[in-house]
Parts: sequence; structure tokens; C-alpha cells
Amino acid sequence: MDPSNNSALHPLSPAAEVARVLGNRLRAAIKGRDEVINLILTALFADGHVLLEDYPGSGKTTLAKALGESINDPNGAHIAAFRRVQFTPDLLPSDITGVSIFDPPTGRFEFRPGPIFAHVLLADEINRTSPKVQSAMLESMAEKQVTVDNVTYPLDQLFFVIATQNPRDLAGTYPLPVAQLDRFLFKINMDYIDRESEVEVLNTRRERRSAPTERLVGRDEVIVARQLIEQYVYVHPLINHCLVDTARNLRSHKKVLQGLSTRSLVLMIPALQSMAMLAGRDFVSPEDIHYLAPYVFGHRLVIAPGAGEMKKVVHECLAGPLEQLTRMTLAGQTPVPAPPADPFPLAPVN
Amino acid sequence: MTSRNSIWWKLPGVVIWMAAVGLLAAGYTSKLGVLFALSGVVSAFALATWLEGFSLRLSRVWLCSGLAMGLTVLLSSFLRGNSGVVGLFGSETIYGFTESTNWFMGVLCWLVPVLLSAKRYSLFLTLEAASLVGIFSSILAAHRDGSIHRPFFLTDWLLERNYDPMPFFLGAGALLGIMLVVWMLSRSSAKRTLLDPALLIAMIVALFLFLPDGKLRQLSAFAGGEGGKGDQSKKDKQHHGGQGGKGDQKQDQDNQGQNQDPDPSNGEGRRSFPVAVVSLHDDYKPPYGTFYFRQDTLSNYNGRRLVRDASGKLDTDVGMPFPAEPIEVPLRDRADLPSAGSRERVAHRLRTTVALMTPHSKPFGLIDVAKLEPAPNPDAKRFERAYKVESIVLDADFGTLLNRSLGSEKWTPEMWQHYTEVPEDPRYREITEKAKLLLPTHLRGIPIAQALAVKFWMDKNTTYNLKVPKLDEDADPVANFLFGDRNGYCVHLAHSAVYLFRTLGVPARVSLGYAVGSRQRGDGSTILIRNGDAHAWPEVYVRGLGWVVLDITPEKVVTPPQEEKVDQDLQRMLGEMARQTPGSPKEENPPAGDGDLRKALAEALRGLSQAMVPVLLLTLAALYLMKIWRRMEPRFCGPARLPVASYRATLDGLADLGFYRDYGTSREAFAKRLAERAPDLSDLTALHMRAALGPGVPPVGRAKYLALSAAIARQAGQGIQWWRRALGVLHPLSWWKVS
Repeated sequence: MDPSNNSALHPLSPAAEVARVLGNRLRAAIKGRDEVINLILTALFADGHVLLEDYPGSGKTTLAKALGESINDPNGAHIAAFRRVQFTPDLLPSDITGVSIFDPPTGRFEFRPGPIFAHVLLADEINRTSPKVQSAMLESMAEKQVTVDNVTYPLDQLFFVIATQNPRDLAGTYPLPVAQLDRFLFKINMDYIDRESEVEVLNTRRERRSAPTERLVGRDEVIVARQLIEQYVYVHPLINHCLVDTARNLRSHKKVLQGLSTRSLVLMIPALQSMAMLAGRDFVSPEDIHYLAPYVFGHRLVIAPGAGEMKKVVHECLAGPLEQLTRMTLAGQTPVPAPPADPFPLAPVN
Repeated sequence: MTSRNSIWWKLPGVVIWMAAVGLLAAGYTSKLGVLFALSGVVSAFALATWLEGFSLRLSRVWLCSGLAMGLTVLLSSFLRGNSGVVGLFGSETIYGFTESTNWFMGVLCWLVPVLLSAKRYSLFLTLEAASLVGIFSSILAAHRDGSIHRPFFLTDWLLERNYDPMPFFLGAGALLGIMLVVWMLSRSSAKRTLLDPALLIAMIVALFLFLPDGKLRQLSAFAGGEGGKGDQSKKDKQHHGGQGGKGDQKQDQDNQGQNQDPDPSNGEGRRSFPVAVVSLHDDYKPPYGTFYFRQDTLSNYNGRRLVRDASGKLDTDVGMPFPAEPIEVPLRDRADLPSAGSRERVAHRLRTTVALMTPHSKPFGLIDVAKLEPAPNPDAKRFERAYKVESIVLDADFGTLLNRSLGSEKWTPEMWQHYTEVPEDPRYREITEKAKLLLPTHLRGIPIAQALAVKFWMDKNTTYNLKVPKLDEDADPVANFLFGDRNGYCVHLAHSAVYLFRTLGVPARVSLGYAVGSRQRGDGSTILIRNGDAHAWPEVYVRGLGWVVLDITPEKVVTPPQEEKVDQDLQRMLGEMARQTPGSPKEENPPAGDGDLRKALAEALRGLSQAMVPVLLLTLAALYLMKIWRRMEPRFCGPARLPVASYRATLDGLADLGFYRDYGTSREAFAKRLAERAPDLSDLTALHMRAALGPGVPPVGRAKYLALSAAIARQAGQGIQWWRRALGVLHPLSWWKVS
């Protein structure tokens, strides 16, 4: 049921409240990007990072900044709410992680944390920097820690990265390999916003600069929301079957050169849970899979040249398992299906 | 997607199409043709699969197919019509080549565009299924036309092992039907909710209409009904030679539909079926190697061609009615009488029984018929009627003819004139003069030797070919043939021979009936006459012997007159059936009794056809019961089942209105699609999905579910025409595709 209906009772209602506040704040700051906002919140609650592929000036900094500024951490004064790093070819790993500096009065090396010590980090044009920096960055994203001079410094539990890259203008870039793209939960391709939203952006440019009306969200609230979602959004075993079957279809697809890793399926589960919570459900529905699959799977696949759109391939492989999952819901007790050898009773689609 | 675009998915389609095309082709073409038709199916599927990858315009595909087919037809007709090419490669090669090309290209040019179109538009899917249904029904229909059990190679194998072939065929047919239905239903496409049941019903009706019933009778008997026996007079029998030449053309045209004889000009397309069984009461081998059964004769030259003598005074040896009591046929010369000529026995009397399987207007008998007697019909289900014939059959061969003179002593000059009248065309004389040169000089003066010379000349210089243009009603069958390419069939040959004989002054006429090679008889005493045995042949009148067959047998044959060998078992079986006297008690436990088998078959078939209606009704009732149960279930089911039951009932209701969830889309997406029409659907969907995939059944009462269901039905039905809604309610299978 919709957890917001009886908010006092449902265990998910704190999470829903956090989502509502963050959503309102972000929507107030950015117009016409509701889908991206939804996906970014999903990634935030699923403890994943986001790679935005878009052109300059599409509002990604505003978005990341609004998100970072919406999170308030009364205890962590040393951690910035939001940092932005412009990735350039001459950037060094220490420029983002921080360096140990010799302090003459104490005679010791003191660690000066870099911009990575933030709640929300915007890594702009991540493909413009050298692989050395990329790997340092991506490692810290995965491990949530930074190691400088053999000393490991943990990052904040909330640590959330929004990286961007420009799909065009690729000269002099270091494209991220698939293995590194794997660190991102979502890769979102943004398009230009629709006409009305664009007009509204221009109309509301002054109001948006003033402080939003919604309250700030505490860092701990977000952490708690993550735990609540993981615990209380139900994932039916059939959902897992559907995911595995989809992955198998993708691996055996003629036009897919490299299929999905098991890790990507594991990462998919929290994303689905967050998505379900944002949709006001306490269970994962096939709709969530259908919606999230291109964002989660798309950048983890290598498809043959000329195979067309990634999204099409993913949906093609998804259709069969999803249809089976959907049909199982009419079977009554929704038993867990036997592994389908060949879905003969399913009809072909063109 | 390996699962749905793989070749395995196409396999049922390939199998069904191969079965259909194979069965269709088997009735019309040679083994080679069938083989190529089958390979055409496989190639068509392969080609269609390959072409799917390209975004071709369907209109162009259809156009190209039509062009290719047209070119193929043109090419084959050119090859067949061109005597030079035929001569170069041999008629058999050309026939095989054109047959296989035609069938291969025909199948290819039809299937590829249909398959490609069906992939895109559901309408063509229906077309594809409809063509399949048409093929199967036509095969079933063809099976009724008197063939007891085909294909012979299979039934023989079964019968030899004492199995009844009919259940086997019915089983195979049912299996194919089920496969067809499953295949049709499993192919999802929107907007097919109404076409599906229509096709299914059409198929069931076709099955019901064409299912062979217990009588195993010919198609003509069905066309003419049981009254076929009654109005024999109207069913004027037509033979090759009777191509409108009998003077009663109007009647002929009336009877086109019941014409059992193959039209020789397109004889390749017809099936062979038995028309009569003749049992010999004594062993006999005709000296000229063929049993001739005369039914009618043409002797009157009307200025263009030979027609039946209308005066009734001539040709008295034909034209008797079916005997109700013994009829003596007035013969002018009795070959069996010792006074006829030399002391050597030249002829003897032979008794035969003829059992007709198709309606005939007049009796026929082994030549020369001397006496007709009635006989009881041995099996009214199988035979039209039966009669006994006493014939005077020749023992002497051509050698004895030379000593004899021509014509009867009793003939008047008018009769001589009648039997020797011939067109005034010097070209006939030229040919006879040419033919005479074949004779040794001492024989050149003997008219009968001259006639034989003409026969030999024609044997050498004509070609038997069924593939010549059909003769017009009134056309002269001779001039174009004899002074043209000399390609023709028995009508041309017989008429030409008679004209040439008459030119020589030899009294001659054309007789019509059946000719069966004595080899066809095998060892038995039964002769099975099939429709393809119909024949026309020339006869000359030899003093003391009467009308003697002097048939032309061309050395060159383009299309053999009867390709199929007669089935000896069938012949024997029919012969035994014909010999049975009606009402006689059957033997106890006859070993593999054909009669019993046949009876069992008939019983089984009758039972089956009678069971069809209740089975159909029961199936329909079961479908409706299922539909009603699914709709009513939410009112009775337990709380755990409630979300599923009510959601399914709602979906069924939407299906009645033609709203189906598309393949591969989620329930939420379906609800969203219908959000404007039925906004409550998303609520019900949410409830259902939570019950199915959520942590527990939502705490919502039955009343809420029923209310939502009712609201959705009401909302969805708005603005839909009443007849559309009524159709949906009546549709017994609307719930079939709900998922």
C-alpha cells in the first residue's frame, strides 16, 4: 500500500518523508528535470553514484548543489555539504583526495582532506582527466575511503557522487572503461528539457535563487531512510528470477559483446527498492524493473557496433522475463517459477 | 533474443506449411514436384527470415513475387509449348523441370510475401491462417471424392498389418488441427480478438462439412444428392470424344458440374477415382491388349465433326437403357457364329458384371455387347447400380482381318454413305496415299490393309499429348491436328483415323467409353475402371465380325494418358464388394475381411461425424462456463484469492471490450494506458500487484474489490457501441488471451 496514506503507522514513512522533502527542494531548484531528480534520489537512497551524460549548462551543478545544500549535518562540521571538482587533464589524485603536509611546529605530517570529503560531490567532466585520477576517484567511490601515504581515511557514510561527462566533444578525453563505469549505479542521458519547463526556468530564475521553503534534511535521516528502505521494501523472489533471466538473455543476445555482471544485479536490488519507495509502494513491482533497467544495465553492457540503441536491446531482453513475471501474478499463489528453458507459450513481438 | 526469434520458434510454422503444401501438391504433381514444393516452403521461411532484417516495402515484395511467378509461368508455358525445346530435351525432362519450377516458385512467391506481411500486419496473419485452413479443407474435400483411403502407400502398409487406417488419418488430422489452432492463438497481435474466433469457427465448419461420412461416396453423389440415381437421364455421360459432339450440347453444359471424366486438356490436375468395377465371369485376354467398354458412338458427319446418329436406326448396338429385364442387343454381325467366316473360332461369348460407382446415363459393356441383364446392387452404399452384360469378344487378331471384306451385306447404300461420309479435303487423300506406301505392293489394293497402313502411319507420325488446347464444342477436331503439329489426345486421334479410314472408303466410326489395358487387370478377374480410363477410339466395320477397334497408339507420348498404376488391392477389394449379393449373411470372422473393415470404417466415421455436433456444443459450453466462472469467482473465493480473482475478472471484462495488455508491458503500464477511460484500474492494479508481489495481502475487503471492478467495467464500457459490447459478451474465447 501507499505508505504515505497511513504515515503514522507505516515503517517506511520516515523515508517517504525524507524523499518528499528532498524532492520538493530539488524540484524547486531545477525545473523540468523531475525524472532525473527521481533517479538521483533513487541512487541516493540506494547508496549508489550517478553518471550524468549531458551537455554543459543543463543544470547538473545546480542539481548537485541543491542536493548537497539540502542535507544538513550538525555533527560533521569538517565535512562539506557539497563540493565540485572540475576534472582536467592535469589534475592529480592528491588534488581530490587531499595531501599530507609537513607541519613545522608539530614536526608531523598532517592530512589536509581534499574535496572528496563531502556529502555530495560533483565530478564534472570526469572523462577529461587522466586514468590515474579517474581510478583514484572511482576507488574511493567504491570503498568509501581514501588512502594517502598508507593511512586510510574513511569518507562519510552518505558520500554521494554525481559525475558528468559530455557525450560530444570527445577530443582529448579518456573515456571511462566499462569496468570503471560499473562503479556508477546509474548512467543517465539527459536531453534538453521541454519548452514549458525551459520557459519556466527563465521566469523563475529570481525566485529560485532565494531560499527554499522546505526544511533541511539531516544526514542521519538519509542514512536511516536507506536502512528502512532496505528492510521494509519487499522484494519478491520472482523479482530476482526476472532479473537473473534478463541478465542471461542479455548475455546470450547476439549483439551484446559483454553481458551483465552479477554485481550489477546485486546493485539493482536497492535501486529497485528505492524506486518502489519513491513510487509509494512497499514492494518492488515489474514496473520498477522496466523503468530502471536501461539506467542500471545500459552502461554495463558492451554492444556490437550498429546494434542500435542500448535501451532497445535491454528492453528486448527484458520483455520475456518481465512478461513471465507479470503473468505469474495471475497464477494465484505466485509460486517461484522453474527456470524457463524456452518460453514457448510466450508469443513473439516485433 | 534467442527465445523468440530463433529458428525453433518458426519450426511449427514450417512443419504446418510443409504438411499443407505437401498434401496439396501430392494431389496435383509428380514426386519431384512435391519435393520442390516442400523445399519451396523451407526456402520461403528462410528467405522471409532473412528479408525481415531489411525494411522493405510490402507492396514491392508483393509486386516482385507476382512478377517472379508470372515469369515462371511464362517460361514453363513457353518450354512446354515449344516443340523444338521439347524435342531437344525430351518431354519428360521438360515436364519435370517445369513442374518443379512451377511448384517451387509458386510456393515461394506466395509464402514469402504472406509471411513478411503477417509479421507486420495482423490482417495478413489471418490471410496466412486462412490459406492454411483452405488447403486443409480442400484436401479433406478431395478425400471425399471416392478415394477409399489415400495415400495408398501408407494405407497399404497399415492394412497389411491389420490396422484400420481411418483412425490413424483422423488422429493425424486432429493433431495437425490442434497444432494449427495453437499456432494461430499463440501468435499475439492486437486487434485480432474478432478474427480469431471467426477463423476457428470457419475451420471447424470446414472440418465438419468436409469430413468423410460413412458412405464413402463420390463427390458427384453428394452434388447430385441421393436423387442421383433417379434422374439418370439428365446426367448425360461425357467422355473425351463427347466433347460437345453428341448433339445435345445444352444438356452437356448442364451437367458440367457432375462430369466425372477428366477433361483431357487439363487432366493433370484431376485426381483419379474409380467409376466402375467389371467382374469377368471367365478368363479372357483381348487380342489387342486392351479392354474396350463401349458406351456411345459417333458416326454422323455433320459437316464439321462426327456426332451421334440421331435417327436411331443406325448404331443400334449402343444407346440401350439400363436393363430392367434382359435386353437382346440387335447386332448385324455375330462374330461368334461359325457361319461368320472361317472355321477357326474368332470370337466367343463372355459374361461380365458391371457395378457402377458414379452415375452414368447409359450402360456400357465390354465390346461387343450382345445382351444386357439386370443385376442386384451388391452394396447400395458403394455402388450406384449393377447389371450383367453378355459380350461377344474377339479372339482373333489383326492378321485375320486381312481376308475379310468391309461393311455389312445387310447395309443399304444410305448406310454405306453414312459410314463413309468425310470432309472434301484433298489433304486427307494425300495422307492416305502416303500411308499406302507403307504397305507391301501386293497388299496396297486391299482396303482393310490400307486402313491398317493408315493406323501405322498415324502411330508413327502423331504425338499423344494431353496438354493441347481444349476442343471447342463445335470445332473440327481433325484438320488443325492432322495438318498441324499432330499433337493431341484420343479425340483428335480417333476422329482423324476415322476421317482417313473413310477417305479410303472403309466404313468407320468413333466410339466412346472406357479403355483399360489388360495389364491393369493383373491376375484377378476384376477390372477397375477409373475416370482417367475414359477414351475415344476409331472402329471399322469388318464383315462377319462387326465393329472392330482399330485404335491409334502413337509412339511419341508427351503426357502419358494414365500415370498412376491401378492399386491391385483396391481393385480386388472392390471386385469382391461388387460380387457380393445384397443381404447375404456375412461370413463369421473373415480373415482381415475387407467388407468388415469397410463397415467398421463407415461406422467409425458415422459415429464421429455424429459426435462432432455434441463435441462442438460441449466445447462451447465449457468455454462459456469457464468465462462465467472467471467472472464470478471474486464473489465466492477466499480472501487470499480475492485480489487475483477480482483482477482477473476485471481483465476479462476489459477483454470483452477489446482491451488487452500488450506483450511485454507491465500491468501498471496497462492501467496507465487505460487511465483516461478507466481511472480506477490503477487502484485495482496496485492492490493486485501488492497482493502478488508484496509482503502480504492488503487488508481490503471484498466489497472494495467488487466496487472497483464494477466501476472499471462501467467506466471502460462508456462510449462503446452496444453491438461491440454484445459481441464481446458472446465471444467464448475472449478470456483466452488475458494474461
